[in-house]
Amino acid sequence: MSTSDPLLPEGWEDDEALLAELQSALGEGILRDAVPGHRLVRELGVGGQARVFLAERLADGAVVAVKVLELRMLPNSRAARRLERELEVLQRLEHPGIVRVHEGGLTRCWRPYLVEEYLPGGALKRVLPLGAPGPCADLDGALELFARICDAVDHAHKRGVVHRDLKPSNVLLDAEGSPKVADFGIAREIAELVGAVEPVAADTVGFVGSLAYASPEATGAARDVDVRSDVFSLGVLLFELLTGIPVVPHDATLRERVLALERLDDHLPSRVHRLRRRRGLLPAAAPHRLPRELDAVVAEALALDREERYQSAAALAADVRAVVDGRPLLARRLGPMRRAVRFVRRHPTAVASLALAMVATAAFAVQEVGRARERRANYAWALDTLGVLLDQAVAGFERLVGGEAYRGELLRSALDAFETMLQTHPGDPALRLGRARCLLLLGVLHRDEGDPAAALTAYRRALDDLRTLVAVPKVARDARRALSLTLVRIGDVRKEDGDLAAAERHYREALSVDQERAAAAPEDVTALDDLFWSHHRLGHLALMQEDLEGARRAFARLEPLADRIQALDPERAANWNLFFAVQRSWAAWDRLAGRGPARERLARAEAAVRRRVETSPGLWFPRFQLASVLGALAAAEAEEGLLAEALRHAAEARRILVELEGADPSKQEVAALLLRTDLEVLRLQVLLGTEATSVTRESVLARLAEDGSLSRLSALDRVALLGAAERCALALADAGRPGLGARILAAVLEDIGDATTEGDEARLRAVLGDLERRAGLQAGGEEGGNR
Amino acid sequence: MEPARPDEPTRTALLRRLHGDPDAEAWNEFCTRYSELVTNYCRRTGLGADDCQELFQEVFFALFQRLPRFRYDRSRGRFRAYLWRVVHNQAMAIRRRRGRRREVGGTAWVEGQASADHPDAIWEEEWRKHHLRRAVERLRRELPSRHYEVFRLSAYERLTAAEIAQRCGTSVQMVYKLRSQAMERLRTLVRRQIEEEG
Repeated sequence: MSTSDPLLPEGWEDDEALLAELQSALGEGILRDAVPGHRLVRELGVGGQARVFLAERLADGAVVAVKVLELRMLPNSRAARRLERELEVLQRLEHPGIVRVHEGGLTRCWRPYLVEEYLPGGALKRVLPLGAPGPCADLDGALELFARICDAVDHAHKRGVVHRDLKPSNVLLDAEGSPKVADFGIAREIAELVGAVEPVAADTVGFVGSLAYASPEATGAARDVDVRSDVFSLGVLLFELLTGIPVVPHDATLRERVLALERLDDHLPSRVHRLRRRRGLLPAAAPHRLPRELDAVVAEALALDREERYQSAAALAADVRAVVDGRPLLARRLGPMRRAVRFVRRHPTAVASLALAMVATAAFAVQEVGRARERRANYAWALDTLGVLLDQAVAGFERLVGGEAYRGELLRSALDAFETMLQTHPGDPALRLGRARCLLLLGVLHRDEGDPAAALTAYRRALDDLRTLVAVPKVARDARRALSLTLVRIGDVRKEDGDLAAAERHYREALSVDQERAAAAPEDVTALDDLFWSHHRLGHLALMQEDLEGARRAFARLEPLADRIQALDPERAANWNLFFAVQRSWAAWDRLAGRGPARERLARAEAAVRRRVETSPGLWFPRFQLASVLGALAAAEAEEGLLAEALRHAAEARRILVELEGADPSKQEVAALLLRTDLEVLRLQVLLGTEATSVTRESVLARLAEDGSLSRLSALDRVALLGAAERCALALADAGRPGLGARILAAVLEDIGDATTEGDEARLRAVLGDLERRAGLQAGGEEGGNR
Repeated sequence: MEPARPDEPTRTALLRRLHGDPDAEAWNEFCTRYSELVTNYCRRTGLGADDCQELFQEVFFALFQRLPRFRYDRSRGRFRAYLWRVVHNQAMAIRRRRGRRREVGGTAWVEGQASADHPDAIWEEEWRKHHLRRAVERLRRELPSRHYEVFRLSAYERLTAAEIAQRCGTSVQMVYKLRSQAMERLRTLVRRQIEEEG
């Protein structure tokens, strides 16, 4: 065996030496005696975050299960908290259907562990579905087992605990086959959940495994979960128990899940039966027939709207037992009509696909020989539905995961539907308008997908129809709007191609259409909005061509329009876009014109934002924006030596921020800007020789003393903050107070110094060193820097 | 030299992916690979459990900020030394902060038992273990489970060849052969890892 392998650590050529080191490296030896008072016998299983061991309690020889957090999860404090939480929760719950916990603590290597009762029956997962050997072999046994799970969950609910992760692998069976609910690691107290918004991104990670069992509200944006969310998970479990498959495939994406749940909500009755038959579970594997009532129970447990679900696990258990005993149910059996109405109301996306299916049917029905009246009704209905659908395609689908792909699918199907209907109603204006709208939306989609040529083709096809449709009174109004939008979109593509003349031609035509529309309906906010953006586009196009006068003319139209829209519809959320666009436009104009110092531009911006604050005093964002504009203005003024004005503006910014912070202390951006503003105010006070520095100084120091509050800031905020701290420290030093300056700079540097490049950090440290030296020279100074 | 398996990007490839455009997946992998090493090191240098968690987060935060600027260059020093410097510096920073907090009258912390060894000796040792763990993990995935079982019984349980042969229902010669094959493969894996990350 070679002895000089440069790549192998010393001694590892020898098998025995390598084996000895292996043993210590792999830690099994450590783990064996690591759980105090227990001897680990063998590994039972590995989960994502923890390992479970069969163990013997040394005191009495009892057999227990020990769950130990994986070492690699140790830095993940969430994983450790899960175990802690489980211990806390389980110690409060005492129920024959809930796994019992004996103790918990830290192993010698600080891995959190839990000692629980050992359940030799394994997980429920292994004995699913109904008809498989085991406790689910016959229907009554399976339903009783399920009802007992519900009892246990209900017990937890009554003690204020929501499990949040119910699934077959979290239900264990004891030696007799009785179920025990386990893994309360992400359980929450109901009290905690009321009004609480979960950190969504963080929790998605922990969710992945159980997504298939989660309720719609648990995966929704708000993560607003309550006991009824557990009821939903129980419903999924019941469904799986009966059919052998989960409602949603385990590997489904979030979007597939949404679609699956919506389909289910629509078709659930009879689905259980169909699935069982298809999977050969009925009637061969289960000699009995499933009572029809079970469908209603599953449907009510799985209602997407929790108001329509069983309101407690106990109610679900009661109905399951009612099925077994042949008693009447609590569950309401929804008639098909009520179900459809409810469905439409709650699921615009599903409505889209539903509508598509129905429209295809209607389009087909129109072609059939039938009664004229019926055909007319079908036609009107189909048109109406498609119109609603297209509106939704514009508005709603971005919010959906995978919405873009779905939107494309939807639009192409809608286009097909219109084409089909046009074959039986050639030249029909409403259908042609619908087709044009589809093409316009498809064009937008193509452009978003980076295919401008396809976009242009679609727009042009739309344009052909629209130019003639504006003359048809019945559809003129909608056709004009579509025409304007199409023209604008063509202009956009042309502009990106660099054909500015063609772009301008299209924008101008759009503008004249919009002007007609606005003249015809002066209170039509949509028309005014389109008019605004046409002016905006023309103005920026003029800027690109360095036509300052043209741009000025266009931009001058913007603000009055924005004001008018705001007056007509003050609640419209999109109004903010208008006002920001006004400011950005003028800023771009100023830049090109090279006119006016930053101060004037900022003063204009300040006036504009201030008006917004006055019209909507309740909104958070405009006030925050005002504070940041005031801060920028103060900085510009200070640069020009207008110190008193700068201080006045900075102080006002500070006052606004203090109010905002008081209203919601959790907003990091407010805290960051407030600290920066404090530093600036302090600097200006020092520069002006104002006496009243002590309040600001205390505020700054108190903020800096809050441990770790700065480390959560964004990188940009950190850099800006370091700059402000440096300027402030230098001003203090020049005013004869280097000690205070050093103290501030040191505190900021210590918390966020690594946000800078290494060169910057070195420079700041040098500045700090200099300040400290100067402070040292001031013997007996009041601020000695002994923080 | 065999090509790297697609399911386990090499250290260098990982660094290259982190360089410039840190994507979450690469980062996650990075954390998974080094957390045990870092945690063990911190524990042995006398940090408490809470400090240890804090340190871990700080280290990876610091790495996250610096790594995009850190070019992997074998001639300029090993990753091993680089990572140690970052970990060590953060450990010192935590210790300083902890000292300050205690002066202010903070809570009592769970103290780790500081090893008498010098930190860089501990790091060397933990680094060796890190390589062993990684290589064994890979070995476990590569080997047929029966072959791995022979290796495992021999390495962890320290059973004799005869005991293993009896337990696995095979001959002593076979146990020797399988064990020696596994050890040789282990060495190859370690060599390759060391070539990659030092």
